[in-house]
Amino acid sequence: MKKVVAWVLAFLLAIALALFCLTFVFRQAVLPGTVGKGAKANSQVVSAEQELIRERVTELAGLYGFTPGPVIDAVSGEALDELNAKAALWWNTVLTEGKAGTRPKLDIGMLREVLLSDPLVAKNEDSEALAETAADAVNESVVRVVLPVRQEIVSYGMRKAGQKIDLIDMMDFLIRVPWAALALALLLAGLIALMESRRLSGCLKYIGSAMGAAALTVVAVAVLAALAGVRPMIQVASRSLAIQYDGIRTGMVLRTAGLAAVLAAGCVLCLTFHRRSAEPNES
Amino acid sequence: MSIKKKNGKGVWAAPLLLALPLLALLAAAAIRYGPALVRLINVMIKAAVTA
Repeated sequence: MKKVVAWVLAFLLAIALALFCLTFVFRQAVLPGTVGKGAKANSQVVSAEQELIRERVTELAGLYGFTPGPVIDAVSGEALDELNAKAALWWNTVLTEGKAGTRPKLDIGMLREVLLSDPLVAKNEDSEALAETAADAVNESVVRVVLPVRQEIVSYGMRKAGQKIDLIDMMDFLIRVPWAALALALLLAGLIALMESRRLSGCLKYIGSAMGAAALTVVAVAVLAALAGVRPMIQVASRSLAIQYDGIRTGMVLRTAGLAAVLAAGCVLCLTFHRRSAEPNES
Repeated sequence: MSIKKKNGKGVWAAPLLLALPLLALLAAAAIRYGPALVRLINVMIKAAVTA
């Protein structure tokens, strides 16, 4: 009977540990967007965005008839960092207030100045209007790279979801779940240790098995998530979102692999210690 | 004289056996709800994302 209870506790411990790992990975992916003024953009993401902006501004230059170089220079570097910070603030408002924030935009006046100083634009009859239209188009295109979402749809979705559930409370709850799961895991491990207080090796067998089971579950969830094929869907829908998704996904994969490795190592250590103490003794 | 005890080799199967119910549950959920969830994610991405 005692063994059955110990295995049930080990099973619950495995669930608590797996829940901790999965919710912790989610928390770390979402948390930067909920703190302060939002997450700082990853430098690799920014350089990939710059590459995409270069392509799009070159296309617009062909369409409107301006020299792409000065415009590309104007929207790279600091301007893009600032725009990314505004986009992070937009996400921050979505995650913490449950509604879409103010749509970020470039300094259109500065863009207009750059375009007006372009000889190709200046020689046009209505250079002011051309500069105005081209600046708006460049702004729209660049903002779509940094924040590739339809704000109206997101706002509508958040409003509708907000009528059914309290999104802010739910987000707050989800951020705290990992620590609750970890506390539960420690409690269950303590209970197992109490049950097997006479034999350390017995206690390690249950705790090690639970750690191994949790590692297997976490890996299985990661494999299922990879098989869902979300990345190709995003790539088809928006290249710029794919760039941002890659930045988040790399962090999530590394954290999941790290946690699964820690659990697997804990399992091997506990079970090795258990096995050694269970090996035949010679006297 | 040697005292023979259980050598504990079978203990390596314990994590797998303990994970089996969870893995079965995951597989069942993936088969039952996976396609619908993937379709929902696809629709959400297409609706909310600009090219």
